[in-house]
Order: sequence, then C-alpha cells, then structure tokens
Amino acid sequence: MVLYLSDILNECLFRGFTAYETHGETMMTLTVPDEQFPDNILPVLVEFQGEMLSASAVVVEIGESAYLPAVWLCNRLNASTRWYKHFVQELENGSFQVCIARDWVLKEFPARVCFDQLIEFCRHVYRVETELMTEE
Amino acid sequence: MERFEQMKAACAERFGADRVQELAENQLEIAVVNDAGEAMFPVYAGFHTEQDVELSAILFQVPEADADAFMAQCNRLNTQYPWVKFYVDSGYFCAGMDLLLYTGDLEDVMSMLTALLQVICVNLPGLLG
Repeated sequence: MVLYLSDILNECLFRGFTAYETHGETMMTLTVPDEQFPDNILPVLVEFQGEMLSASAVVVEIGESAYLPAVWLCNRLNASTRWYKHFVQELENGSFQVCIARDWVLKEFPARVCFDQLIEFCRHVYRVETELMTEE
Repeated sequence: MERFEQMKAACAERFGADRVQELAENQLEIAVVNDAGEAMFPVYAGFHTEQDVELSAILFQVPEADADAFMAQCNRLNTQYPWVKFYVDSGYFCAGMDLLLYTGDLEDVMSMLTALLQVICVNLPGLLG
C-alpha cells in the first residue's frame, strides 16, 4: 500500500481541515497560519513522488550579509533536530531563502500519521522563523 | 527489537561481521572501509522504535580555521540532495538521515543506508580536497 494525495485529502475531509490547495494529482500547498500570529501564513509545499513524499517551505528571504549567520543557524538546527533539514538557497537575483525540507517513505504510511506530521512540519516552520527573528 | 536484529545480520553479511559492532541496545556501528581495506568513517544505525531509524556517519574533523567554508559546503550539499542531511557537530563533518518506515521490509532500510553511503562516497573526495 502506497499513500497517495487522495488519501491525505480524505484525511483532511475527515478532520474538517481546509487550509490547503491542490495542484494536480500529486501536489498540495498547506496554508496553516501561525498559532501565535494568525495573520502570518508561511505556505508548505507537499509533493507526492511515487513512493516518496517531500514537504518544503521558505521561511524568509535574506540578503547576502545575513547568509553566513543563517547558514550557521541552519547547521545548529540540523545538528540538534531530527527529521527536518534546514538550508539556505541562493536565488537568481542574488538574494537568499532560508528553507526547511523533510522527506517520507509512502509505503504502508498511515494517512493519519502523515497528516499529523505535515501539520507538525508547518509548526516547525514558524518555530524556525521565530528563531531567525530572535537572532537578528 | 526484531528489525534491529535483522539489520545487524544483514549488515554483517554485506559488510563483513568484523566490521559491524553492536554498540548499545538497538544501536550498531559499521566501519566503512575503502578498496584497500583502510578505515574511512563509521556509520551508526539506531532504532528508536521498530519504525524509527536514525542513520548517521561521522566523516572527518573540521579545522577550526576552515569552519565557515565547511559550513557553506554543508549548506550546498543540503540544497542538492533530498533525504541526506549534512552538518557539522562538535567540530566533525557529519551526514545522516532519519527514517520513518512502516513497511516490514528490511530491504527498505538497507536501500536507504546504501543511498546514504553513495552520497557520502561521491562527495567525500571533494570535501577532503
């Protein structure tokens, strides 16, 4: 049994969860607001790729002067936090984005667990945003 | 833990029993060697539960003077590969992945271990200069 996007959509329906948009048959964006600041919404892109699932989010865009401190923060989070990968991605315009990603194996993966972990991913994005703002 | 025992046996068969050691309960260490049989780096596999597996490798010590450069390398690699996480921890360049596997198929764990080792081996020469 491999988990599909349709299974997660069913789980969303079952939970009464509506903070998402779908894009085709394999992608969705979660738009879960920050619990502390509900007007703040950082979208999470979720992609079903065969037997693998990936989620990713952009936390914030930064300039070149903030690149190295952000890389060090990402490293500290990577060394101390399981499940999530934190990194700084360079854009074509010369600025940078602090990003978070996580991957799952979809074989035999229960939809309810997947849903819970996607929501937890959304929460983690806001925790990292808070840390970044604290470090500035 | 059944899956841990299975993995221990599979790793002993694949890498050689003399290169696999049970460090603690549900944690094993694999000594990865090169073609000449020389030790390269250790890989650790830890089972937090039957489904939750943590793989990690300690690759080399990072000179303090080059910390910024190696941080940037970690970051570059983290943008390049899914699953594998590169980081510097306590002065050591490390790589690892966290797996949540609900399948009962040991081959799923072993294939991810293989993928981790492949990513490391492809990039290690460039990192060591």
